[in-house]
Amino acid sequence: MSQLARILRRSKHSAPGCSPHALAGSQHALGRSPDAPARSPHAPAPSLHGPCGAPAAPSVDPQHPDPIAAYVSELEASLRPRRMLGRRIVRKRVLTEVSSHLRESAEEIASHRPTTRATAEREAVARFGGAHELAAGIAAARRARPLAAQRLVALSAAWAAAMALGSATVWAAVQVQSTAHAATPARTAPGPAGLSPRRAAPLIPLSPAPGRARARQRCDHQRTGVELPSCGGVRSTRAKR
Amino acid sequence: MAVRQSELQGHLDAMLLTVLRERPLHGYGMVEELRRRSHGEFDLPEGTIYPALHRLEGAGLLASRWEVVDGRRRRVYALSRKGREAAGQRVESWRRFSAAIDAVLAPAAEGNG
Repeated sequence: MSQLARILRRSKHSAPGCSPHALAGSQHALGRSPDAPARSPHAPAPSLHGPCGAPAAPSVDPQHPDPIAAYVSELEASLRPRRMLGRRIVRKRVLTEVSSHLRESAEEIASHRPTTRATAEREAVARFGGAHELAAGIAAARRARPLAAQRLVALSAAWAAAMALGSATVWAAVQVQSTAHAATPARTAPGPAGLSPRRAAPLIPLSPAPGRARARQRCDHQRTGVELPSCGGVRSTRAKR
Repeated sequence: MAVRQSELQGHLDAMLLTVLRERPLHGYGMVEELRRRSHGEFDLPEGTIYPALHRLEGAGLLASRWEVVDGRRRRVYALSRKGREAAGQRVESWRRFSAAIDAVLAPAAEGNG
């Protein structure tokens, strides 16, 4: 059994309370002790157990025929519940990117050493680091990102609120004005002798008055200098007297 | 002795920006370039760079686009103008910092020698 398989099997018996997430940032995630020599880019994957005995590397089934596909599935499952802006787009992008990276890495490993494709892929996955840590890192980066986006959303909301308030105010003003006009229909009618409705308003009775009294009432307003045709009748009456 | 990942954490952003100063690269290309420049000393778990790349892109320091090479899609990252300025500032800042650390550590090193 390969070293990686032993490591991955050991990971199933990791100590309780030692979350793989806790390994992020730990030098153990490098898969070697601090004093170990630098690893050659194409050397076999090193020991991957962390401080809790938990794996820093992904918990991909060592017998899986396609370790990269298994890793990508694990990453997708880990990304799916995380809240971030543009979640679906980000998830698709990350999965494509990671899958491409792992395939390239596996090809590179296989081109430098005689090995099977599955072994090279397992090694590429082991070098890549844990799916949970990566998903947490991506989610944190995407949550930190939307400072500009948050400002944009806040500005848009403020603009929409201001527009709604302005529209409501204008609508209310129009309603009040139209109600007032409806209550005084005569005042809005065209005045006699070409007067504006405002000047002619006092000349037009709001309620009908019968006969001469009405005519006299109108003619009292001749002081305004307005010549009303109906006053002729009143004058002629006075002249007769 | 290889450099510990915990020691690299605070410098990863600066290193990625610096690596991208020469040319746009995809994630795997950046890992390879870091490994090459550090003569194998910087051997991060390769996935570590992706959160950093997303963070830098979110900050407007990087721009990215898809490219297809040998039938495989790659996300290629390049420095934005803001990123180029930031890379220059971080290199300058690092030089001052490393000179100060050297000045502090040098007497101890001489004492040991």
